[in-house]
Amino acid sequence: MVKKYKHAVGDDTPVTGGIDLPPGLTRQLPADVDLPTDDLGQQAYWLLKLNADKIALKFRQSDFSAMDDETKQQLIADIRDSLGVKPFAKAVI
Amino acid sequence: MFIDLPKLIELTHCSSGATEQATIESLDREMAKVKIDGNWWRPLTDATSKLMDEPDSEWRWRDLISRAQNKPFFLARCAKSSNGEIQAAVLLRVDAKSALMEGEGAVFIDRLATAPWNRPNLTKNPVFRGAGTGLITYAIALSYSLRLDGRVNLTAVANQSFYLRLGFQSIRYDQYGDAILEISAEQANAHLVERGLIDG
Repeated sequence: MVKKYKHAVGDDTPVTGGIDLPPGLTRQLPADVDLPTDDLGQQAYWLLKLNADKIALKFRQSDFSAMDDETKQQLIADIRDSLGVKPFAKAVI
Repeated sequence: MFIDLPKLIELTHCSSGATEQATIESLDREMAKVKIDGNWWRPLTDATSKLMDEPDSEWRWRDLISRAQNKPFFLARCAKSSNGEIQAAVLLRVDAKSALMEGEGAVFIDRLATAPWNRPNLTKNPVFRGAGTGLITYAIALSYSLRLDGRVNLTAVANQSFYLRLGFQSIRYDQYGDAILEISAEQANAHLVERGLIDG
């Protein structure tokens, strides 16, 4: 027999946000003109940009664009390793 | 997609308790236009209140994505079920400051919404639960993976008590009047351990 639905079991997070991040809580990060256009490039860019106080690696976006995906993934793994970020144990939330 | 971030969210069918996995996907303008703006707000057969009273009924995800896509620190993701429907969507930015820990960064949930047919305040028979919460966990995982230590902040428009139960703290941000909710690095770590995403 199918269990009757009760309101209490619905999703608790229907809507959040829609209010801008207050300027005082926005980090002032130097904006680059030459932004990555793919996910792997974005991931590497963010890791380096957001952790500039912990790790420094200079490269041009054109250098990154020339890499194949396997090389990009290895670079990201190396950056994460340097930052002490451990891999997730599973892919399902 | 980013490497080594969760790719699936386990959804629960509210009617049967059965589970299925939704994929976490990039949300682009076309998908937002067709699958959210053009699909979410169709009348529900068993609606218990007005769709147009929902705080996000006037959000136009296509426009939001258009504005965000050329900014360097925004990310749009959605949870898509096996029938191709978007069950929840989120717009994140990774250039936030922590409101709890001075000098540290955080991921900010600019906005998040679950599909109307999953909302218990709108329908007597919601379809899925877990999509919105799954995307919050995704935001925490993203923060963790970017070495922001899992810190995530947001402004809740409703159901603040849910976030407090999840481990978020309410911080009065007096200059602007809105309360910011933030999950600390310690609570974020506990959240990820509890869900088996990282070791304790």
